[in-house]
Amino acid sequence: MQAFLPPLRPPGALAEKDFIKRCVRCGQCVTICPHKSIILPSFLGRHRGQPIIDPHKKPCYLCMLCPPSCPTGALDPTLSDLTRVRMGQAYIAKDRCHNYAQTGIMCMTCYDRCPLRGQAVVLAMGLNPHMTTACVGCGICVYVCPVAAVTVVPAHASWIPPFAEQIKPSPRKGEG
Amino acid sequence: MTRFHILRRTIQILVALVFLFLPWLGITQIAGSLFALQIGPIPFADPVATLSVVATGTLPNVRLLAGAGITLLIAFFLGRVFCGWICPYGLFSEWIHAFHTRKRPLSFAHALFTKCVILVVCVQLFALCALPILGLCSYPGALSLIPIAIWEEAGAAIFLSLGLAPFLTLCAEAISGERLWCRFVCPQSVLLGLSAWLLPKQSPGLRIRWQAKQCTCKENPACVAACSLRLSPRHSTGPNRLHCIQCGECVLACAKHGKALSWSLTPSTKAKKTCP
Repeated sequence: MQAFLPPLRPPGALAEKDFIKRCVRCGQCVTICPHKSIILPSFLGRHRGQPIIDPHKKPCYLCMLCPPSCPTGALDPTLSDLTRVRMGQAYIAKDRCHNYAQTGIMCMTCYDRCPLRGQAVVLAMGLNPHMTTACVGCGICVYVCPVAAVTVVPAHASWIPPFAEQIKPSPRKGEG
Repeated sequence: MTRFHILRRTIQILVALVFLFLPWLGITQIAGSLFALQIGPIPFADPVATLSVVATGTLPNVRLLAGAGITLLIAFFLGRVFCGWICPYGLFSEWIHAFHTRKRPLSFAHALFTKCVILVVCVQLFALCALPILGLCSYPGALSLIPIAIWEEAGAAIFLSLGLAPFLTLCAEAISGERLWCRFVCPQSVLLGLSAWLLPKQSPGLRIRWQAKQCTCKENPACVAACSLRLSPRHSTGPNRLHCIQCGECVLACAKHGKALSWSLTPSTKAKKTCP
């Protein structure tokens, strides 16, 4: 199923159909990324040469250097607030997560490593991690999860992974 | 080998080397590829890539538009210097061409038409169904992306994706002995050539000038034999700016004969004095 979803784009990317029109494949976001998170897919297809992020290989660390580097406007150059990034939404699979599956291992890796700590991942009853709508989709939780329980669904894709725990409202004030 | 020839080759090789090592050099002043490049505060952009964005009905950011404008403005005044001095594909193509013996030239007659058709089809395919064919047949841009792809450890597939088409074209050029891509296909050359061609006769700009009086060659002129694109510079306005890449090989060849060809920066015709 994930093969049919749009790819995860760098922070500040426009909606997929506008992004693929605007991006000229210059690679400036790729070279400015200090973590080498952004890659240019090489296969022959619609996404050829346009930047994606594969959180299994390297997630986005939300340093926000790439949006101003884009000359085309495919990435919003004015975006600098990392809480306003909307790359995607993380979902946690209840059948895989240590804490939900009660494997006897108490794991809080996704909660600990989330760059929006306490906002994008909250712990229900101090134990079970819940993703919230504050999630920006950077994919760090995907990268760090020891049991591959987390999936990031790119923005504008209407698909929910199987066994996914429901998304909670953002704990930030004034957001829901 | 003259000093001029060495200068041009040095610039071409230097540009190729800069792009080859750019991701590792850590220079923040130069970023991007030949699709869109940022050198300090000055943006440059591939006019074809910009056109393809505009053709989809979206207006790109000012930086991309300005970059394309600057690139076209350079071509307007200096001619297609990008092709003869900068383009890495042009460098490889010239090297392969240099090893070839001269044969009967292919006709240039339909070159512009073919190129325009290819450009329009590519831009339309991108606008209508987002098929990124332009990314495939923009050789300068594709070649300059290869080092970036190696740097971000994209794997061997990137060589096939970005490098295979230019490599096969170079093979075809090696077999045919003609610079097929630059003459008949390259979409970038269309807009650069058209911009160069628009330069009015009265305005200053980099030109190759031919003085008929000094021309001593009868048949098989040395300038035409020297031109890797098989152009004839023997017109009052010099070689056709639409196709000429300003490499200066014809001027060098002519220097051994009548010195009828020379570079000039001044207007090609003086403004006509109004006679009473």
